Amino acid sequence: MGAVLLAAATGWSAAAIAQGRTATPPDISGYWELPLDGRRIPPARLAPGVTPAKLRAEANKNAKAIRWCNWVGMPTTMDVGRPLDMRQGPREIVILAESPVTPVRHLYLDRTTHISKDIFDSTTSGDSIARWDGDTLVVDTTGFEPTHGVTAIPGGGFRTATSHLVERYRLLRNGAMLSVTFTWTDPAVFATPHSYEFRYQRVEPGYEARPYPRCDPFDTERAAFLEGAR
Amino acid sequence: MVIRGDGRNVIPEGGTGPAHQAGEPYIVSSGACTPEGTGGSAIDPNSTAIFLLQSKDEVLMVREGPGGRRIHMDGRGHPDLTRLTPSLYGHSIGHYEGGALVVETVGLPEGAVQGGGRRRPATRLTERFQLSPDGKRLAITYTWDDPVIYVRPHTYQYSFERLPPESYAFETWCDSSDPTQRQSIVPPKQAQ
Repeated sequence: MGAVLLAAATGWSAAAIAQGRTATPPDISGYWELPLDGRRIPPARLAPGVTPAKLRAEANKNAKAIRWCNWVGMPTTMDVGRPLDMRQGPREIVILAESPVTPVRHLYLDRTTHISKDIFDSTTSGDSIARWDGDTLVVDTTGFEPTHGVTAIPGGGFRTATSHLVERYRLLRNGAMLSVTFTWTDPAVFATPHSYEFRYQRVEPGYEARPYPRCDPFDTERAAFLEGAR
Repeated sequence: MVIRGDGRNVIPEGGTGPAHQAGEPYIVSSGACTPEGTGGSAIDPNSTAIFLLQSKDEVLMVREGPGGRRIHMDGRGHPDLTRLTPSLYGHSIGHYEGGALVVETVGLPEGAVQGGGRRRPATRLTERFQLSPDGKRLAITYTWDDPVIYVRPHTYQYSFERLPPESYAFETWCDSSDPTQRQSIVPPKQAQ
């Protein structure tokens, strides 16, 4: 084959990379499902500059992204209606959704600063760095792409290039539940930081992820359905 | 050249005719940016990086876009083939033999295999992941076995280089609504 493929075999290294850890952190690996009563989402306090016209433009952009099966990205990745597969390694945590339009999230445990804006191409998932604060995993994300994917944030508002997301992951109920608190800060969108919480339930061992439901942007009947709804 | 319908098919005028000429645009895939639209089974890595992450009961193998492959390490077997919907990644179970990860996969859709082979849902793929002693290279040996298709198992190998420690995953972007993102150009004739 032509190009040599590259493998950042994050889990292949036996060396623990996280530094400064004094105790073994919890392991959030597993399949996690968001039940109907797992969302606590207060309304966001939006900045004065967020006009109805701006919100309509964002809504239209999001509808187009869904219509064309674009990658959805954050924060939709965390609520796609199917279990999330989270796997924790020494260097990073990977979050994989059962969806053909959801990019994989990489939460890096091995660095404390974001990739320089000079070289980082913004993405729908952003650049995520993570650390353990006691039994809580704190994930800090910047570098969002404002024009790609579904930008809507639960409770109101939307992600922009200046969005800053902090997530706090904590196991509850003896590891049967995972609480994730999301806090968005963005002076262009929010008057005050906007927080909400999802509580995921651990899926029983032996779970089999189902094949992804197909998303066909050229399915004319599907397109008519979606465009008729706008 | 005409672009018909939704832009997926670029067909020479009249429906048939000479092959595309150098410099003329043509569509290299079905036109969809989704994993299905890229063709193939997604088992064979392409030119983007792959990322492997081991947890105690599963190995994840992901690329720089949506979707990913799960290799079950918890001792389960394959589901009955009659109850398994063929999928891009099939159903994979793995175990360690010495220092190698051995993965067995069934349930892939019908399609082509590197080296001129074919596959169907019942075709069995065995992969052997072997790290070099210094950990800098990873060899994956693929063996396709199906007495209906092959007179003997079909084997080939890919060799991967480990990315530098400071590397991070990119996120690919492709917009199916933009015809130019689905096109490629027939390259000019190469000098002999």
